[in-house]
Amino acid sequence: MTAQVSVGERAAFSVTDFFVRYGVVLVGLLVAIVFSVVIPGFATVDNAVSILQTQAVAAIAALGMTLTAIVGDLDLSVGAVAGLSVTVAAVVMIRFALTGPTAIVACLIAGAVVGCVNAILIVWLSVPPLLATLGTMFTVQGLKRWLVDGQTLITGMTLPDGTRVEGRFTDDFAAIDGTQVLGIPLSVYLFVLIAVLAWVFLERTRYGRVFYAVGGNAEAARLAGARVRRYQFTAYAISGVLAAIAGIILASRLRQGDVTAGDSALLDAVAMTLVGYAVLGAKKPNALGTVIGAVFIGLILQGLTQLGLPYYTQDLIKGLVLIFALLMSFSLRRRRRRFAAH
Amino acid sequence: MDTVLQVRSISKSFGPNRVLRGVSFRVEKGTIYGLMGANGAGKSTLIKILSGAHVPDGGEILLGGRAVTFPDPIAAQRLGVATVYQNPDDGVILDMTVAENLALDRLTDSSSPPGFSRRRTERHALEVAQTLGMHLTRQVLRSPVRQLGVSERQLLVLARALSRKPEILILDEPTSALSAEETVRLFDLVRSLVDDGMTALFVTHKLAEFDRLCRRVGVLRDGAMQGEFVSDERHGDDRHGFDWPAALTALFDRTPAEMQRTELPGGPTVLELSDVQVFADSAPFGLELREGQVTVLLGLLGSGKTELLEWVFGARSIAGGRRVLDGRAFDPRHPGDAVKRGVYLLPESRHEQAIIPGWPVFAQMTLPFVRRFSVGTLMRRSAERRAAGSMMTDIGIVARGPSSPIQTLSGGNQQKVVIGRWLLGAARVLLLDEPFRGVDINARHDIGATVRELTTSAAVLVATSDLDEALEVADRIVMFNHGRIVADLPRSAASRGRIIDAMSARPSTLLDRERAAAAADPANA
Repeated sequence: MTAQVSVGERAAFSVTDFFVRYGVVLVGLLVAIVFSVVIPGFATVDNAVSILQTQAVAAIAALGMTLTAIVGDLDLSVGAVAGLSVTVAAVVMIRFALTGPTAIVACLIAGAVVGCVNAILIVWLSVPPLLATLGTMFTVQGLKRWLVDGQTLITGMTLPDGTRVEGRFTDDFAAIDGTQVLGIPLSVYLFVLIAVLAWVFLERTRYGRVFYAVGGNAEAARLAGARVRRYQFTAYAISGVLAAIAGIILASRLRQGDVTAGDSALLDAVAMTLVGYAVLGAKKPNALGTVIGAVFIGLILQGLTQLGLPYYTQDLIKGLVLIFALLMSFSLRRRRRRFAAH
Repeated sequence: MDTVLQVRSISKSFGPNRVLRGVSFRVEKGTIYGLMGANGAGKSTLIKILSGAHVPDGGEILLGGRAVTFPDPIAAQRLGVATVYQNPDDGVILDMTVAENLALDRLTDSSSPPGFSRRRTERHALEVAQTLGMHLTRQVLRSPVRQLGVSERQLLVLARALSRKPEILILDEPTSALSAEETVRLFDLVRSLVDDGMTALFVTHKLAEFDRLCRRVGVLRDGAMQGEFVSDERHGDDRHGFDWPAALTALFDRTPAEMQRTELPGGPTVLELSDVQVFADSAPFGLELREGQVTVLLGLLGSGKTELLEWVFGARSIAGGRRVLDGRAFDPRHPGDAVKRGVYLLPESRHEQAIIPGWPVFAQMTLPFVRRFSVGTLMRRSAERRAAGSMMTDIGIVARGPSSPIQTLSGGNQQKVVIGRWLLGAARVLLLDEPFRGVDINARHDIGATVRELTTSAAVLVATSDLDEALEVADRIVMFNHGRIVADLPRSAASRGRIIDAMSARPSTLLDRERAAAAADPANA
């Protein structure tokens, strides 16, 4: 009976549907082709790697944010947590002259702690997710400034109490974003690995399925036996850890304890996650979309920069890209939904 | 008689889906026209066209002989067509007070003064409430609608619709949330309004309601009128006025086979509940559920049956009680624990509590059993689709396939999907909370049959507030009122009269207390 009905009832082709599905990808390809023609040396492997490397920090934070967006709302603390990693790494290595692995562990612990604080506020104490993470964002930003007395930690500087700091970013730590294997920086491998893991986790495992169920209808998921709170908790905790990893890459790139580092990663991550909604007509947060969003934004910024666009116009470009993606996932979507309403 | 509303070959398609294929009918002034149709027959679309929410692809609507078009719902309202939808939450703003909701038309009217005055709003609200004969206290007026029950919200929507003095009132399954007594009041009201010259279009799933209200009933199937039936008044009282066999034949395209079945005696006890106290002030009771029969828990909204079911499922706590499953203590702290032991719940509200929006049928079904449909942690989609596909064939779900998004299915088929979900497991106890709500007669019979088959291996408990549904599926009827069992009868001993005696009416707090008390008194005896 079902088989009989399924034959020949494919929905008619619609331009809107097609654009909703493939719009971002098509526009991305178009942009890539135009840049390749206009800019000599744009269509090279090195340039592609450079785009990935530039976007890796915000993109890894965006993958964590994607996870939280599925079960609740955007995690606004990811930028601050990434920045906290930079500060913690600098304090551990420059101020206390400890090893690179120690710094990495300290960063990961700091990220996990902030993630768990978010989770506790949201899951146990019922603070609305967006507001809770906004609160921790401010707190963490303040915390990292307080840790370094509001200064940028640099090897050889004199602290307010008169001591000179002699530690420095260790070679193994600096290698994360500095060393290349087969012409590709380690940080890009890390980004690709995390992206693949996130995609498999969300799309192919039973945990991912339940994550989406919790986000789609928490009460229905609970009544189907899912431990909803555990999933919500896990999402925010993982997001904290991923943001810390993003911050480790950023620290490895900066090699100093810059107090404002990471702050801009927040809005970039928000943009990537939201552009991801529009990829392949997903209309929901998804790992593939977030990665494509990161590449899409990176591609446009890289091309425009190489065309001589000043750096201070970057936010303007990102904003326009985001609005374009939002229009595609929400405005076109509404018409489609109404169509399918029956 | 004057024809006040005439519909001429209305058609409407959604994409490739032809929902209405030329519907025509006419309604005489001062009458109540009944409209029946199975889920998916096109009723909701027709009503949305008449209320201006959809624009038809073809055909005409004539009001008092004049062709009209409704580009939007406001246009329909201005021309005197008021609609009360099935779900009252579509017509109220939950976080505003009762008074603000009742006075909403004034508040949004651009000709009313710009300032907001609570006194004026409450005065308007009282005027509006007056059209329904409601007497509201100041406390009720100032409480947010969110605090009201479903039936009370329904009354608010109705009061607002009537305050616009409509010429034509469209009621889309208005009784689905009302108690028996509230239904009687609603019907009295509609009759008196019609006697005063209003015209009503009445849609319901319940045949008995057509007998009580309508002289003329149109039957819609596959987007077209299949026939019109006129109540035969030779029978004296209009209780048996319609030629139901013919009407049902038109409705289903097959003769109605009354569910002939023998009462099942029931096997060994599966679930034993003792010292159960649902509310803090209700007396403890015990209840045993047996395999091999369908037990119906019959009680009105607010009787505590949902609380009882959710407690058994581990989804909420109540004042107290003990649960024993197959002779072993059963103390679920979370629905997940209950699912592991084979205790499943079909929740009361399909959309809010069972369905994950946008998901395909197969994923809706496998959600509680993702572990079984995975290797290690990776999902096996082909196995999911196969299992869902064969379940769809088994219980007769009409859809393109297991990958169809759930929202493309009709209400009855969606309900079968969420029931089919639990049939994928190994049920010991299946708890169904209002499984027939918003489900047409056809799907109801299918669901009833599915549930009966399951009794060979599980205890089945169906909670409902509808007497006819109870009599249709039950082998044993347990009547429940304010957290206690008031009667426990085998189906053969449960006569309609006996059941009605045992169930007391639950007067809505919004209604005139004196009248409600008077009506409830004999039933309480």
